[in-house]
Amino acid sequence: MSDIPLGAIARVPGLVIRLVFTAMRFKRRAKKSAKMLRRAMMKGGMSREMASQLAARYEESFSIRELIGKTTGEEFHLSSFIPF
Amino acid sequence: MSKDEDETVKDVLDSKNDAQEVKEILEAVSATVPKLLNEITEALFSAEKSEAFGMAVAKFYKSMVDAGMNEERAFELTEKFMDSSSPGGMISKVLGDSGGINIGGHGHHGHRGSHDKDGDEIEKKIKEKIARKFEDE
Repeated sequence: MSDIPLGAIARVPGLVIRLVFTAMRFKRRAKKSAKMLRRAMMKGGMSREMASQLAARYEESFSIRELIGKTTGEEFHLSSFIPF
Repeated sequence: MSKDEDETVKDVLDSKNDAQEVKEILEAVSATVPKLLNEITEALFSAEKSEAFGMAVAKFYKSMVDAGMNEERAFELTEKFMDSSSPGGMISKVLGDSGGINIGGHGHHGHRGSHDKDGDEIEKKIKEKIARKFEDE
């Protein structure tokens, strides 16, 4: 039997779920922010096409997968955490 | 109490302390990390900031087009401007330049960024200029 108390182990799923929800919220807010950015660029005189391209690029820069990849120094694949 | 029994008791106490430490760390992480991430999210994606940034990007683009630059080139430069000044771009740049956190020795070893290449180019130009000056004299 593991030495880690049950109380500590019981916290792990909760933490994972909270992190997943936080990541989802991050993604949703990034999308909303990109939408606002696109609207502001169009209001500022840019064409819809250009504003959309730039907004997509802006949204991509918040990709959690890429950010993790840059943090660890290699491309992030979920499979790298699952050994089978 | 024999020496063996003494050591066993000591081991049990040590492992209990480690387990307690793990529990405390998990408690701290589960309380602070999601809160911290939420606060970062709020700070990065506020409506006012997004709108102000969008207006700044549009202004940058328009100023170049108004100055006579063709639209394609102006768009390219606007992309670069956006990459370098958007929060996501800045985070990527910081992580990219630092080579990331080296987990298990898989970092960007020997990676030469664009800054290094720019530096080499500048150095080359300066050397050429100095050499030309000496030749003139």
